[in-house]
Amino acid sequence: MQVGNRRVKMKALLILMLAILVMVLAACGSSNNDGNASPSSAAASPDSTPSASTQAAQEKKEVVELEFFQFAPVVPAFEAIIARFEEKYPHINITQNNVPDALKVLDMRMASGDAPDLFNLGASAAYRNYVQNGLIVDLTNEEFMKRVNPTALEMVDYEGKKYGMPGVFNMIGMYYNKKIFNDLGIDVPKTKDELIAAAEKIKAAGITPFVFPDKDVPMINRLDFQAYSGVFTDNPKQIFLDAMEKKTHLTESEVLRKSAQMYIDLRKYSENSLSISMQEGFNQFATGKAAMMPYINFAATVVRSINPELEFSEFPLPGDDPNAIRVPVGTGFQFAISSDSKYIEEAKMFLDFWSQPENAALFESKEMSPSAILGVPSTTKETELMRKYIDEGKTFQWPGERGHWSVSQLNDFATHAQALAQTKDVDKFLQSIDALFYGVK
Amino acid sequence: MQPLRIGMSKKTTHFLFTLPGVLVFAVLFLGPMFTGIYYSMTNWDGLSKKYNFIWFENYIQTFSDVRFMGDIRFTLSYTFLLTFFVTVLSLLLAVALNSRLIRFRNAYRSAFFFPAVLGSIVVGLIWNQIFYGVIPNIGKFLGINALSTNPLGNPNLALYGILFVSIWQGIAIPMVLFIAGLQSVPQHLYEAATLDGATIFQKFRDITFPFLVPVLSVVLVLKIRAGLTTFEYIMAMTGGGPGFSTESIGLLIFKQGFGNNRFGLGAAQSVLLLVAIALFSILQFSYLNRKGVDQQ
Repeated sequence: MQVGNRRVKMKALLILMLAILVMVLAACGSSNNDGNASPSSAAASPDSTPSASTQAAQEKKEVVELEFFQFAPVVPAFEAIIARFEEKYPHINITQNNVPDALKVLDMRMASGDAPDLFNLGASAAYRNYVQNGLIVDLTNEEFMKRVNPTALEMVDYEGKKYGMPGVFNMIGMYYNKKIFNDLGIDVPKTKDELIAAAEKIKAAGITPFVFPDKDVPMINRLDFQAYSGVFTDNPKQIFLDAMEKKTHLTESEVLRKSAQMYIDLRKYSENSLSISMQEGFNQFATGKAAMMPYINFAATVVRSINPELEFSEFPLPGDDPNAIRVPVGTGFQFAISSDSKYIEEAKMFLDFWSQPENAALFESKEMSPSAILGVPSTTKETELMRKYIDEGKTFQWPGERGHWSVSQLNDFATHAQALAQTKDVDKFLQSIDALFYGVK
Repeated sequence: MQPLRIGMSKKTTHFLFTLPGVLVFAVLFLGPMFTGIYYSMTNWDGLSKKYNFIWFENYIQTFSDVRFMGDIRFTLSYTFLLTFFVTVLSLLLAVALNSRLIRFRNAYRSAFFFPAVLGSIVVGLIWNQIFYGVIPNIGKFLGINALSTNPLGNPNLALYGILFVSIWQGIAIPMVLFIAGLQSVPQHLYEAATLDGATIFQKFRDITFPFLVPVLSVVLVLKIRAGLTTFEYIMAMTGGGPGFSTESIGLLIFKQGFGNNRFGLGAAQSVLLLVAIALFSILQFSYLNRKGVDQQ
């Protein structure tokens, strides 16, 4: 008995120790991963072309290794420009680094003093933080900034200075399947009622009218919602600014109420939007299962890659008045240079090169977004209609663009908008976002 | 041959053997824990070089936050359901797979253990696709309304979808621990009990169970901790959605710290989580230790 007891004891102790070991290992593993996330991704990039750089080093003594960090899924479009650039300046070797969840990785790298030389910030709200912390270079007086469209420049303004160069216009519109529209004899809707009537017609034909990828990218919910706000007023940005200044409550805004109602109304013509992820949304639209999908620019390249045969185009969201249709615009890409970079001059040379109209045009042809560089024509027929509105100046700025909202306002607004698709409770939604904005700066 | 002696006392040797473990623990656990507590009293955004000391403002804000309270509710119900089902199911499986009546026991054991070797993010992503592509078809075929759409897109069902996956993967390790515990029960006790005319249930309650208590308390601690800190499955499957309906405390901390640039607030919330887990574990160990077989 005594012996048996001791054996039991030993075994119990062993199991306990094993369990503790597992716990410790699991926790170690996770903390290690966190800590290493940035250095490993940083290490991966400069070394990824060792043969090329050593060859170049043998030919010319000093080779500049420049890291270009960017988040967008348009790697080939950038590669094309980089190839041209390296041909002209053989002593500069640019390595493009494109990792998953890039904006978070960028945040980490900026925080740990391991910033990439040159990066694409997109419309990230981190811009404001980076500027306030002196992490990025002031580009206001650079020669190449004069080539940029003033509307785009205004969007990167921070207290009179520009710390980033906008690359393209970002916009959200309703992508639609041209064939389905033609077959059913539907014209591009000019009012909300026409849009609903079109959806009814498509539904009657047994096709899903809209696909809303509401599942795992709440960011799209925010942009989608904001696009509606612009069809009911020409300056939705002001509604939120007024709430931040404690002038009015968001719950009192008729514009937001109407936008929320439209947001809900359109979703009645979609199927289980909350279970559809971004990729599944693209698939449904590209394969013709759904006739319409609201999305930002880069959807065009993705849809085209899934189904090159599909004929599709994009129209701006209509509201009550057909003459008051406006395109929501922001800056899609925003190049910024790290203040800690050893090669600030070389990075500026690249921006100068990128912004030359012939290079920006090459980029436009591959990336399909309207260029923010003056004099670059739009060759993408899918966005023709949207472009027309932009050229006529019928645009409005996304309320959450750039410095106006804090990062947490951007993120939490997006989640509240996702919740609205679920609850369909406009009052509750307005109260939640009012709590997010009223008196908060 | 004489063993080599370098003139060290037993105590020194013991000390040197424990030293690496203590150092690893201090560097990887105690260090971050104390810096975490420090940052929880600042308004650091995770990025700036400057930040202010704001004492308990983050804690006050946390307790007045409706979202935090909703997340606590979610996390607690998830933890309760997870712990309950994992413990019961893994114990049943262990008893079954320890029984001599079942053939190919080892094959079954391997099969049930298999999910444990997969990474939780991988499992989450695989099930994500199953919930999207397979479950609705099965639901439609069987005419079950609730399952004819993706459960993860339904705020009332998303919790159970995530729970199902975490149970599926989570029972593997407890099952192995229970099997080990069952094998440590001395056979002669059963024989004696049989002679005394004990029923199967009595044997389980009075012989098997007391021997399983140490394992049980480990399993409970592991699962309660896993439940309270749950993150990966939710990140991979719903991202906390739809809306806020599946947002756990762990995910909220991540979102505040890394998504919303409110590192101080996130740190404060994780300190609260740490306290909660510590309390649970202490209560549990002190309660269950009184019931164990080998407490003398």
